[in-house]
Amino acid sequence: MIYRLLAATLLALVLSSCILLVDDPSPQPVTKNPITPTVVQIAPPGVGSYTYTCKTGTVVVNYLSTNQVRVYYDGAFQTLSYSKNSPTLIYTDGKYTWEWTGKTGNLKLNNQIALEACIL
Amino acid sequence: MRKIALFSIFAVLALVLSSCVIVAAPTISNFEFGSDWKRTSDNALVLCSNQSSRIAYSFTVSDGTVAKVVEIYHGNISGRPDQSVDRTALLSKSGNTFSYVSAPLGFGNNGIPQSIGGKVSTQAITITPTPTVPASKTGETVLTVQVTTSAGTTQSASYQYDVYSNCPTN
Repeated sequence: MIYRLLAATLLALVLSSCILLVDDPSPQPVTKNPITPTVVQIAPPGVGSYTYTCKTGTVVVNYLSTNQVRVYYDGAFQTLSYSKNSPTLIYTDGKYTWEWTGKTGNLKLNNQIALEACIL
Repeated sequence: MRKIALFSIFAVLALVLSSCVIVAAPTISNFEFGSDWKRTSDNALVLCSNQSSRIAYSFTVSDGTVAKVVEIYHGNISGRPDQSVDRTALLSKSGNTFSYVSAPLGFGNNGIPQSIGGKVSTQAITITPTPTVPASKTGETVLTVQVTTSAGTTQSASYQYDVYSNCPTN
Protein backbone atom coordinates (compact mmCIF):
# COMPACT_ATOMS: atom_id res chain seq x y z
CA MET A 1 0.00 0.00 0.00
CA ILE A 2 2.82 2.34 0.98
CA TYR A 3 4.72 1.44 -2.19
CA ARG A 4 1.70 2.30 -4.31
CA LEU A 5 1.34 5.64 -2.54
CA LEU A 6 5.04 6.42 -3.05
CA ALA A 7 4.84 5.38 -6.71
CA ALA A 8 1.79 7.56 -7.28
CA THR A 9 3.49 10.53 -5.57
CA LEU A 10 6.65 10.03 -7.59
CA LEU A 11 4.63 9.81 -10.79
CA ALA A 12 2.78 12.99 -9.88
CA LEU A 13 6.07 14.81 -9.29
CA VAL A 14 7.58 13.57 -12.55
CA LEU A 15 4.52 14.46 -14.56
CA SER A 16 4.32 17.95 -13.03
CA SER A 17 7.77 18.73 -14.43
CA CYS A 18 6.84 17.60 -17.91
CA ILE A 19 6.30 20.00 -20.73
CA LEU A 20 3.80 18.74 -23.15
CA LEU A 21 4.52 19.60 -26.70
CA VAL A 22 1.32 19.28 -28.59
CA ASP A 23 0.88 20.03 -32.21
CA ASP A 24 -1.05 23.20 -32.82
CA PRO A 25 -4.45 22.40 -34.14
CA SER A 26 -5.28 23.51 -37.61
CA PRO A 27 -4.91 27.36 -37.85
CA GLN A 28 -8.06 29.35 -37.56
CA PRO A 29 -8.76 31.95 -40.21
CA VAL A 30 -7.75 35.43 -38.97
CA THR A 31 -9.88 38.44 -39.73
CA LYS A 32 -7.59 41.27 -40.71
CA ASN A 33 -8.45 44.80 -39.73
CA PRO A 34 -8.70 46.85 -42.89
CA ILE A 35 -5.82 49.31 -43.06
CA THR A 36 -6.20 52.27 -45.33
CA PRO A 37 -3.00 54.22 -46.04
CA THR A 38 -3.38 57.88 -45.13
CA VAL A 39 -1.52 60.65 -46.87
CA VAL A 40 0.73 62.58 -44.47
CA GLN A 41 -0.36 66.18 -44.37
CA ILE A 42 1.79 68.86 -42.77
CA ALA A 43 -0.11 71.58 -41.00
CA PRO A 44 1.20 75.16 -40.84
CA PRO A 45 2.22 76.43 -37.41
CA GLY A 46 -0.78 78.74 -37.26
CA VAL A 47 -1.46 82.32 -38.20
CA GLY A 48 1.25 84.63 -36.88
CA SER A 49 4.84 85.75 -37.28
CA TYR A 50 7.66 83.32 -36.56
CA THR A 51 11.40 83.90 -36.46
CA TYR A 52 13.28 80.80 -37.61
CA THR A 53 16.93 80.15 -36.89
CA CYS A 54 18.54 78.48 -39.87
CA LYS A 55 21.98 77.06 -40.55
CA THR A 56 23.19 80.34 -42.08
CA GLY A 57 21.02 82.98 -40.47
CA THR A 58 17.52 83.88 -39.39
CA VAL A 59 14.35 84.44 -41.36
CA VAL A 60 10.94 85.79 -40.42
CA VAL A 61 7.94 83.91 -41.81
CA ASN A 62 4.51 85.43 -41.39
CA TYR A 63 1.69 82.91 -41.84
CA LEU A 64 -1.22 85.00 -43.07
CA SER A 65 -3.58 82.03 -43.56
CA THR A 66 -3.37 78.40 -44.59
CA ASN A 67 -3.10 79.63 -48.18
CA GLN A 68 -0.52 82.41 -47.88
CA VAL A 69 2.72 83.28 -46.12
CA ARG A 70 5.05 86.27 -46.23
CA VAL A 71 8.77 85.60 -46.00
CA TYR A 72 11.15 88.51 -45.37
CA TYR A 73 14.14 87.97 -47.65
CA ASP A 74 16.23 90.22 -49.89
CA GLY A 75 15.08 93.17 -47.82
CA ALA A 76 11.39 92.79 -48.61
CA PHE A 77 8.38 90.69 -47.75
CA GLN A 78 7.87 88.00 -50.38
CA THR A 79 4.28 86.80 -50.53
CA LEU A 80 4.07 83.09 -51.29
CA SER A 81 0.97 81.03 -52.03
CA TYR A 82 0.11 77.53 -50.88
CA SER A 83 1.33 74.84 -53.25
CA LYS A 84 0.95 71.50 -51.46
CA ASN A 85 1.08 69.95 -48.02
CA SER A 86 2.41 66.48 -48.69
CA PRO A 87 4.97 65.17 -48.01
CA THR A 88 6.02 68.66 -46.97
CA LEU A 89 4.15 71.94 -46.75
CA ILE A 90 5.18 74.19 -49.60
CA TYR A 91 4.46 77.83 -50.39
CA THR A 92 5.92 79.44 -53.47
CA ASP A 93 5.68 82.32 -55.92
CA GLY A 94 7.85 80.61 -58.50
CA LYS A 95 11.01 82.39 -57.42
CA TYR A 96 10.97 81.94 -53.65
CA THR A 97 9.84 78.69 -52.02
CA TRP A 98 9.25 78.10 -48.32
CA GLU A 99 9.15 74.43 -47.35
CA TRP A 100 8.08 73.25 -43.87
CA THR A 101 8.43 69.61 -42.85
CA GLY A 102 6.70 70.04 -39.53
CA LYS A 103 10.02 70.26 -37.73
CA THR A 104 12.39 72.13 -40.00
CA GLY A 105 12.08 74.56 -42.88
CA ASN A 106 14.03 75.48 -45.99
CA LEU A 107 13.91 78.63 -48.06
CA LYS A 108 14.79 78.21 -51.71
CA LEU A 109 15.61 80.90 -54.21
CA ASN A 110 15.18 79.76 -57.80
CA ASN A 111 15.25 76.14 -56.56
CA GLN A 112 18.56 76.73 -54.81
CA ILE A 113 18.75 76.45 -51.04
CA ALA A 114 19.14 79.91 -49.53
CA LEU A 115 18.42 79.02 -45.91
CA GLU A 116 18.23 75.47 -44.62
CA ALA A 117 17.48 73.55 -41.44
CA CYS A 118 15.38 76.41 -40.09
CA ILE A 119 13.89 75.73 -36.68
CA LEU A 120 11.67 77.70 -34.37
CA MET B 1 13.17 161.33 -5.48
CA ARG B 2 12.79 159.48 -8.72
CA LYS B 3 16.50 158.57 -8.68
CA ILE B 4 16.16 157.15 -5.20
CA ALA B 5 13.24 154.99 -6.24
CA LEU B 6 15.14 153.74 -9.28
CA PHE B 7 18.20 153.05 -7.16
CA SER B 8 16.05 151.10 -4.70
CA ILE B 9 14.56 148.97 -7.46
CA PHE B 10 18.03 148.16 -8.81
CA ALA B 11 19.27 147.39 -5.33
CA VAL B 12 16.40 144.96 -4.69
CA LEU B 13 16.89 143.39 -8.09
CA ALA B 14 20.59 142.94 -7.42
CA LEU B 15 19.81 141.28 -4.10
CA VAL B 16 17.27 138.94 -5.67
CA LEU B 17 19.58 138.00 -8.52
CA SER B 18 22.51 137.44 -6.21
CA SER B 19 20.54 134.74 -4.42
CA CYS B 20 19.95 132.86 -7.67
CA VAL B 21 22.12 129.86 -8.44
CA ILE B 22 21.90 129.02 -12.07
CA VAL B 23 22.39 125.26 -12.60
CA ALA B 24 22.93 124.21 -16.19
CA ALA B 25 21.67 120.71 -16.88
CA PRO B 26 24.40 118.37 -18.11
CA THR B 27 24.26 117.65 -21.80
CA ILE B 28 24.54 114.26 -23.44
CA SER B 29 26.04 114.35 -26.89
CA ASN B 30 28.23 112.68 -29.50
CA PHE B 31 26.27 109.44 -29.74
CA GLU B 32 28.09 106.97 -31.97
CA PHE B 33 27.17 103.41 -32.90
CA GLY B 34 29.33 100.54 -34.10
CA SER B 35 29.22 96.98 -35.38
CA ASP B 36 31.53 94.22 -36.61
CA TRP B 37 29.93 94.37 -40.04
CA LYS B 38 29.21 96.99 -42.62
CA ARG B 39 27.50 96.96 -46.00
CA THR B 40 29.82 97.53 -48.93
CA SER B 41 27.38 99.59 -50.99
CA ASP B 42 26.89 102.39 -48.47
CA ASN B 43 29.10 101.52 -45.47
CA ALA B 44 26.00 101.21 -43.27
CA LEU B 45 26.57 99.27 -40.07
CA VAL B 46 24.77 95.92 -40.20
CA LEU B 47 24.53 92.69 -38.21
CA CYS B 48 25.00 89.13 -39.46
CA SER B 49 22.77 86.49 -37.92
CA ASN B 50 25.03 83.63 -39.01
CA GLN B 51 28.30 85.15 -37.87
CA SER B 52 29.64 86.69 -34.69
CA SER B 53 28.10 90.16 -34.49
CA ARG B 54 28.50 92.77 -31.80
CA ILE B 55 27.07 96.21 -31.34
CA ALA B 56 28.92 99.14 -29.83
CA TYR B 57 28.07 102.69 -28.87
CA SER B 58 29.54 105.67 -27.10
CA PHE B 59 28.38 109.08 -25.89
CA THR B 60 29.68 112.05 -23.95
CA VAL B 61 28.13 113.53 -20.81
CA SER B 62 29.21 117.08 -20.00
CA ASP B 63 29.44 116.49 -16.24
CA GLY B 64 30.89 112.99 -16.62
CA THR B 65 28.15 111.23 -14.67
CA VAL B 66 25.80 108.48 -15.71
CA ALA B 67 23.09 107.06 -13.50
CA LYS B 68 21.57 104.64 -15.94
CA VAL B 69 21.94 103.34 -19.49
CA VAL B 70 19.24 101.20 -21.03
CA GLU B 71 19.31 99.50 -24.43
CA ILE B 72 15.97 99.00 -26.13
CA TYR B 73 15.78 96.59 -29.05
CA HIS B 74 12.93 96.78 -31.52
CA GLY B 75 12.49 94.30 -34.36
CA ASN B 76 10.84 95.97 -37.34
CA ILE B 77 10.22 92.72 -39.19
CA SER B 78 9.66 90.11 -36.49
CA GLY B 79 7.06 92.15 -34.64
CA ARG B 80 8.33 90.81 -31.33
CA PRO B 81 7.86 92.96 -28.23
CA ASP B 82 10.68 95.37 -27.52
CA GLN B 83 13.38 94.13 -25.19
CA SER B 84 15.20 96.33 -22.70
CA VAL B 85 18.52 95.69 -21.02
CA ASP B 86 20.24 97.76 -18.33
CA ARG B 87 23.91 98.19 -19.30
CA THR B 88 24.91 100.74 -16.66
CA ALA B 89 27.32 98.45 -14.86
CA LEU B 90 29.14 97.45 -18.04
CA LEU B 91 30.05 100.89 -19.38
CA SER B 92 33.64 101.91 -19.92
CA LYS B 93 34.60 105.50 -19.11
CA SER B 94 37.32 107.67 -20.58
CA GLY B 95 37.11 111.29 -19.47
CA ASN B 96 33.52 112.33 -19.99
CA THR B 97 32.95 109.73 -22.71
CA PHE B 98 31.24 106.44 -21.98
CA SER B 99 31.30 103.41 -24.27
CA TYR B 100 30.01 99.88 -24.47
CA VAL B 101 30.83 96.95 -26.75
CA SER B 102 28.61 93.91 -26.55
CA ALA B 103 29.57 90.27 -26.61
CA PRO B 104 28.42 88.41 -29.75
CA LEU B 105 24.68 88.83 -30.06
CA GLY B 106 22.17 86.04 -30.31
CA PHE B 107 19.43 85.98 -32.94
CA GLY B 108 16.20 84.09 -33.47
CA ASN B 109 13.38 83.61 -31.02
CA ASN B 110 15.63 83.96 -27.99
CA GLY B 111 17.85 86.44 -29.72
CA ILE B 112 18.91 90.00 -29.19
CA PRO B 113 19.79 90.86 -26.57
CA GLN B 114 20.89 87.68 -24.86
CA SER B 115 24.58 88.26 -24.36
CA ILE B 116 26.44 90.05 -21.65
CA GLY B 117 28.91 92.55 -22.95
CA GLY B 118 32.65 92.47 -22.91
CA LYS B 119 34.90 95.50 -23.12
CA VAL B 120 36.70 95.01 -26.40
CA SER B 121 37.28 97.19 -29.43
CA THR B 122 35.28 97.00 -32.62
CA GLN B 123 36.47 96.55 -36.14
CA ALA B 124 34.50 96.81 -39.31
CA ILE B 125 34.45 93.76 -41.53
CA THR B 126 33.28 94.08 -45.12
CA ILE B 127 30.54 91.82 -46.40
CA THR B 128 31.71 90.13 -49.55
CA PRO B 129 28.81 88.41 -51.29
CA THR B 130 29.55 84.89 -52.43
CA PRO B 131 28.52 83.91 -55.95
CA THR B 132 26.25 81.03 -54.93
CA VAL B 133 24.11 82.22 -52.02
CA PRO B 134 24.59 85.93 -51.54
CA ALA B 135 24.12 87.61 -48.20
CA SER B 136 20.55 88.73 -47.91
CA LYS B 137 18.80 91.21 -45.67
CA THR B 138 16.39 89.26 -43.50
CA GLY B 139 15.64 91.65 -40.66
CA GLU B 140 15.87 95.09 -39.10
CA THR B 141 16.77 95.79 -35.50
CA VAL B 142 16.50 99.28 -34.10
CA LEU B 143 18.73 99.86 -31.09
CA THR B 144 17.82 102.78 -28.86
CA VAL B 145 20.27 103.81 -26.15
CA GLN B 146 18.67 105.81 -23.35
CA VAL B 147 21.06 107.64 -21.04
CA THR B 148 20.17 109.25 -17.71
CA THR B 149 22.75 111.37 -15.89
CA SER B 150 23.10 111.66 -12.14
CA ALA B 151 21.37 115.05 -12.36
CA GLY B 152 18.36 113.39 -13.97
CA THR B 153 18.88 114.54 -17.54
CA THR B 154 17.71 111.90 -19.99
CA GLN B 155 18.48 111.64 -23.67
CA SER B 156 18.35 108.83 -26.18
CA ALA B 157 19.64 107.99 -29.63
CA SER B 158 18.70 105.23 -32.06
CA TYR B 159 20.34 103.33 -34.88
CA GLN B 160 18.73 100.86 -37.25
CA TYR B 161 20.88 97.82 -37.91
CA ASP B 162 19.84 95.83 -40.97
CA VAL B 163 20.24 92.12 -40.20
CA TYR B 164 21.74 89.84 -42.85
CA SER B 165 21.76 86.09 -43.33
CA ASN B 166 24.31 84.11 -45.35
CA CYS B 167 27.15 86.44 -44.46
CA PRO B 168 30.50 84.97 -45.55
CA THR B 169 32.93 83.53 -43.07
CA ASN B 170 35.73 85.91 -42.33
